[in-house]
Amino acid sequence: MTDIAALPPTRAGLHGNYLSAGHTVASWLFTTDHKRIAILYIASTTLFFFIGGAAATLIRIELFTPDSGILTADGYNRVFTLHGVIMVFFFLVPVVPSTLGNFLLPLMIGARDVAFPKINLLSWYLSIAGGALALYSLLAGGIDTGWTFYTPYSSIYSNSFVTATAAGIFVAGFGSIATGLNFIVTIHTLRARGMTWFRLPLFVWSLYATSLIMLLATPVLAMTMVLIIAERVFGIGVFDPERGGDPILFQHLFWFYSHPAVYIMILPGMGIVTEIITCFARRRVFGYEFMVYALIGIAVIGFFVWGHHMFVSGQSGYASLVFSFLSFLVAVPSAIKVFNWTATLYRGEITFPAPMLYALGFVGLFTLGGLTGLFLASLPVDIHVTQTYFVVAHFHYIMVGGMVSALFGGLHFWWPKITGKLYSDSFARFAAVLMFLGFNFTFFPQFILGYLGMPRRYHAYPPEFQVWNVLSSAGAVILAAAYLMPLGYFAWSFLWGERAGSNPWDATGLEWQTASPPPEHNFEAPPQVPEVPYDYHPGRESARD
Amino acid sequence: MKALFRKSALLPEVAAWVGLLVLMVVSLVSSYVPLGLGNGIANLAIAGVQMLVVVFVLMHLKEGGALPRLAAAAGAFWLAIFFTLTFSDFLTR
Amino acid sequence: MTDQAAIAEQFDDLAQQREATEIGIWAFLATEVLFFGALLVCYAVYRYQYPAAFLAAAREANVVFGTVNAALLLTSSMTVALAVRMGRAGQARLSGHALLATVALGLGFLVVKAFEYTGDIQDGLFPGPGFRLAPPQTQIFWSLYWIMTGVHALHLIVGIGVLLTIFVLLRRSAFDPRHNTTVEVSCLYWHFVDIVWIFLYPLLYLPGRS
Ligand SMILES: [Cu+2]
Repeated sequence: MTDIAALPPTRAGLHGNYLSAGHTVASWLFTTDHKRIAILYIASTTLFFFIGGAAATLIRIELFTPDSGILTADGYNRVFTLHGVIMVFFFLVPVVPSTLGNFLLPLMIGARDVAFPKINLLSWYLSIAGGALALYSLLAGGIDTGWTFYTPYSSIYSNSFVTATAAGIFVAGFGSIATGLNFIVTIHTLRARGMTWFRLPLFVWSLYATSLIMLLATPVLAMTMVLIIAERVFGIGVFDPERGGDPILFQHLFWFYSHPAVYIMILPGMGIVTEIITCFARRRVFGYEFMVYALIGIAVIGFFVWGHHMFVSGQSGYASLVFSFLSFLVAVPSAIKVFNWTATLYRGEITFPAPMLYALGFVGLFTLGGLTGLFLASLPVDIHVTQTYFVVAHFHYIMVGGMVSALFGGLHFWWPKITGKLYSDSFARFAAVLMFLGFNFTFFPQFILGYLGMPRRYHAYPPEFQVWNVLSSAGAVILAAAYLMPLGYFAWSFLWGERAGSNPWDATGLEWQTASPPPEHNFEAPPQVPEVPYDYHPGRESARD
Repeated sequence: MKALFRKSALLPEVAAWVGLLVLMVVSLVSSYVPLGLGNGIANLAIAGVQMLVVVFVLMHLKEGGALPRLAAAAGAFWLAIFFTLTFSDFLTR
Repeated sequence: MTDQAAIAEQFDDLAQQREATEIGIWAFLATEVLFFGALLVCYAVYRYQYPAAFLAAAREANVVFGTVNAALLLTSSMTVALAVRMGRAGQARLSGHALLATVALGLGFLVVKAFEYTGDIQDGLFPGPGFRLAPPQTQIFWSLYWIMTGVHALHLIVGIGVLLTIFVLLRRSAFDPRHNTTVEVSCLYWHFVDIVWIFLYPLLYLPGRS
């Protein structure tokens, strides 16, 4: 394992780092440095996260009481739609690839930048333009279709600002496509000498699989949005039932993107968690090749299962059967990953700093979310719980419990690399535990509510559901505190934190072999990769595996 | 411009162009012959051949590395998934 | 012999840069396949559901304009391929001429298309209150017609812009087409736009003629 101290010390800091490379606003807005673009994305996605979070807060306040509280029925529709649209399209989908992915991908493969730095910046502007359109529709009065935009309501009848939001999703979608394209080309062409495909860190593999989905699914969503806009603006619709349009066709188009989009959200999280677990178990990842095949397998099979969102839509029973079977299939590679994380921990020298707590939280919540996904993939159970809080709880376990835990884990893991500063581990560990508890407190009651039959997307409900709703709302307060805490100690760390060395966790991987924060062009000398990844005990484990 | 014409005679590009136009005319004429379902099938088959001519002769897909071919294949494969699974619904309604 | 200025800083050498742009454009085209693919799926589903209405509706499309445009685009695919061949051979001037010919053919397509659109509208073929055909499912066909040809025309306009830019750059000898994939990459995009029309032509203009 390359020892950082062995590198000539004078080289580091010779040219300053990427943060000190410019202090003007223009030096940020016109940068093509992938690291600075990552920071831009961190700022913008954080903003969207808190906007979506504010909407969630309104939802939980409204549901505190069974009858109509602070919101009207129509207002409630607009708030949960806002929450869904902002969180899915402007936070969850872009967040990990564009922040940690952008920052780390070139560093991890030993490149100076991504393959197309200007397109990378363009991606950010597209995501901002798309977000601005969505926020415009929010300020103008919001939309009430739900984040799924089902036709013909969205295309003909809704009197809300569907067009602007759909246009925003269209524009941001191209930002996402450009990011995916950039990553795929970068991974193919810019790996350092010795960085063979099976030496790539699994986070890079997860970004590769994610990019594949971004490239091949997002265009379908974009065209679906075009079709909605065409119908609303020009009246040339193909979903109008009066002309023979088929609303179920819309659902096919929408879910062809939106199921794989779940994997856009979760795969990079899996990559982050793998990096963290191997580091703090001080063990090479168990079954590296299987982890790679599982990532690619999930990305591909993830395209075969979208019909499980349509079991009660009027889709043919035969198609439902096929989609149900295929949905069970996609659980296999996911289960392989959970198994391999567990096996990596086995007989490891485990420590529990904050990133590790977040990662372990991810494994637990993802497993619960995944298992309840099997309930929903099986036809008879799904028909019982369709459109109930069971579904809401399920996908929040995957996306919020799983994905956001992984994101926070990744931020805590690489924070010293990104900023060059250390943060308070005790505060961070407290926040991690708080997040795990708050999350379960918020969303586990929703499984019960759903199983008891409480439908989603209503602002009022029968009084017998109140106990569970109050629990859920109370949990949301804890969860909100856990989300806000890092803002405090990260800010403190950035301003007054202790300097982090280049490798505070004593981790493997090229990103830890350069200075923290990294110099403008990442490495002072072209890195070489002589060893397999995650070689925490050279010589010892290689004999055993 | 003149030099362009002189240099381009009998190049594969020109041969491909002639082929493409001939195929287009065949497709057009065939669509006026009553073949029932065969009309649509013939039209689409010809379009498929035209696409292959463009992709392999004019876009030089054959000369490129393996990756461009893989990307093209991925596009085709995912489109096939899209069609197959969507029609698994509509064909069995 | 290779000029360092032509290599962006993230690449080691020209070969790597060439490989990257080549993979990039093909990956982008794969995206585009799915982008138009969504429309093709809609078309296929509705044609399967309403075969008679689709044949009746397609019969009203202007097959003369459609065919002329198909010929124009097929020809432009040849000229743009010649631009690549000339560029690779280092004949930047000839390559530029071929690009200009391509642009002219593309503009010709748009002019024809404009006439066709005007005629369609006068003919009552824009879905909505003044729509002329029955049954109502014919409106689905014509909605798809407008969206498909419209999205295709936008792609073509982008292509014309790109090729014109490259033409100007070649004129100014801003780059050497032997070492630079700009010409090749843009031409691949142009071919793709042509391929889209290769499929739109039989789907929108030829059904229902027999
Ligand atoms: Cu799904």
